[in-house]
Amino acid sequence: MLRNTETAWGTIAKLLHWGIAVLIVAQIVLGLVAIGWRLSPTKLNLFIWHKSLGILLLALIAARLLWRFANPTPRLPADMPGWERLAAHASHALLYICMFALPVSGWIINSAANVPLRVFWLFPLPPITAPDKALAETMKLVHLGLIVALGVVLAIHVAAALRHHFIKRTDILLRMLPGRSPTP
Amino acid sequence: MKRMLCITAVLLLWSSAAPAATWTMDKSASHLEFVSTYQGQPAPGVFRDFATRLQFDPAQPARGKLEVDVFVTSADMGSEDLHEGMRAPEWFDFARYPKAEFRSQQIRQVAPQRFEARGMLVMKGAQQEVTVPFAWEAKGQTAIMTGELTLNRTRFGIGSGEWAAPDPIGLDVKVKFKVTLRRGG
Repeated sequence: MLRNTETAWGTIAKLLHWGIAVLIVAQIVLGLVAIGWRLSPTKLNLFIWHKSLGILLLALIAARLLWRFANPTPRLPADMPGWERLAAHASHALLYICMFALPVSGWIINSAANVPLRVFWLFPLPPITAPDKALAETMKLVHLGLIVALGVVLAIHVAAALRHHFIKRTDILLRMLPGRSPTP
Repeated sequence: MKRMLCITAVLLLWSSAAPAATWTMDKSASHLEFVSTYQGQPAPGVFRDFATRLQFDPAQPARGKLEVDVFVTSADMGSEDLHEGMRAPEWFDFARYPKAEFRSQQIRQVAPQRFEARGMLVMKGAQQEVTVPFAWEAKGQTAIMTGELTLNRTRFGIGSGEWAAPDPIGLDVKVKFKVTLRRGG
């Protein structure tokens, strides 16, 4: 079952969720390693990987949002209190905002810093702003700020999923795992 | 008759010994650009400060003399980070080698209005023979010299050690110039 239903996530949504999750972790590690590396061709290549992965993530996140709008979203448990529903929607919205804004801010840094890029050494990425040193510096701070924000919301996301599974004993976590067919 | 021949010979000798016209660079109408590559993508820059001295008569190119000084610290790639990178000893080593020099006394014509200046380019302490092709377009007291050539940066130790690898910063650098000259100087 590729598409979502009112009660279950489809295979496409699960693949996008976990694929993006793995890539985000790899991306954060890559970014930190690249920043810390001494100036050398290896450092530049680490950044080329980081930037390429960022563009891939941007495409995957756009695809995920489109897929989400084109599919039903599985309902939250009926007995979930109002504040939890609000918190769930808000944290999911924040996750999407961070996931979208991170690659875009990276793209702006690269454009403003006037550095060319071939994504995965395959095709050139056009700049989205004119060269602008001040803008590049500002966007670096925004990029770092977004990473911290993403880290916080991600921690809440994981904690909430674990709480649902182990404390509230709902199927929220299980229904995002592979291989579970929906119950009608 | 003999006397006549003698005078003609003297005149000929004198005219061929006359120095070629001196040309002075109009700085505001002259550009020296370079295009390096990053992942094979063009990464252009300019040298904002350079000087050209030329003695040249297109009818007698062999008598010409071309001298160019490039103040490499004036390099501008539109990025402070890149400028800092160029300053480093592995790259241009601004502190030790602030100036590159090209000196040629071998100018020859290769086609109508097209010439080649063969000479020595001294950059970052390395001395290499280089041929600079140029087109010559003169109008009254003004002439425009345009051309482009490709240099391998590693011949001059620009990008040394691990940076001598062709990736991600390519080895070939294109140099393009448009120099406006005024007769006299």
